Amino acid sequence: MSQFTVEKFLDGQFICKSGDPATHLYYLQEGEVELLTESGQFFGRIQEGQSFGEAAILQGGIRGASVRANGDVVCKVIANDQAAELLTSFSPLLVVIIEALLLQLAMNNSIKHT
Amino acid sequence: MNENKLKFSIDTERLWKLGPNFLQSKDGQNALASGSLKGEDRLFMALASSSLLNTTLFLPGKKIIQLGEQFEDAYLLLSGEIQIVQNDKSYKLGAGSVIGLSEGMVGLPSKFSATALTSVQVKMIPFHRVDTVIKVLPPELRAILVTIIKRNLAA
Repeated sequence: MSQFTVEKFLDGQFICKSGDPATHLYYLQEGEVELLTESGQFFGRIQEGQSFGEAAILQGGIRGASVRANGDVVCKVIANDQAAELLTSFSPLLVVIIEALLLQLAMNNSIKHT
Repeated sequence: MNENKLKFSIDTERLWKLGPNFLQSKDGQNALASGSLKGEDRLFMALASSSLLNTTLFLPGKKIIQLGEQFEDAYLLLSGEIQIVQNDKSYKLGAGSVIGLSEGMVGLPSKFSATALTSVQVKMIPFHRVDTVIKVLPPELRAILVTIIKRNLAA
């Protein structure tokens, strides 16, 4: 998994901001992060061992939320294009599975909000 | 409550007109960057053109999954409409809808029934093939899948 680089973030530091280009995927190795809306309102937490920014890998686009370190945080980070290559190297079917999961998420969000 | 509304559908007619190589073209990249092509459009185009998934057809009235049944395959709707009945809700889903993937990956039975309203063309995602891929994943990649599955199940 050498494609991942390790990045450290201090308590309160923004890891990415809503509206930024979605260029990287993050795996939260240590610590906890908070999710904030564009206006800075808290709406969720992500714990150690989970990922965030995964929609960016295969969709691109812009960030829909800001992510802020809640305490010191260590992340494994990978760029979108490298992530796509990594997934394909494991199995082309893995790319299909993640694309379909993300499409299911888009569908579920639409069902929830219409 | 019986809404019976179409809750999700991709404009496939528009996407097919763009052609199979649009995503790789400069125009395709510009369309994604500008937002005129949405993330779900891109995902649908990639999945619909995938040679890794077999296609099948459900005729009108075919029960695709019953409440409480285990999924053997997940489905991506390429065309047509299905009726979903879940608790006291009833609604329709169209092209681009993905049925049963997150549920099947964690072994949950269906929380709804799904019936073809029209002829429905689908791509099938068989879970025995999904399981083979998942088994060999390192924790970082498994975490990506788990995160998306959790969000789907919580939605």
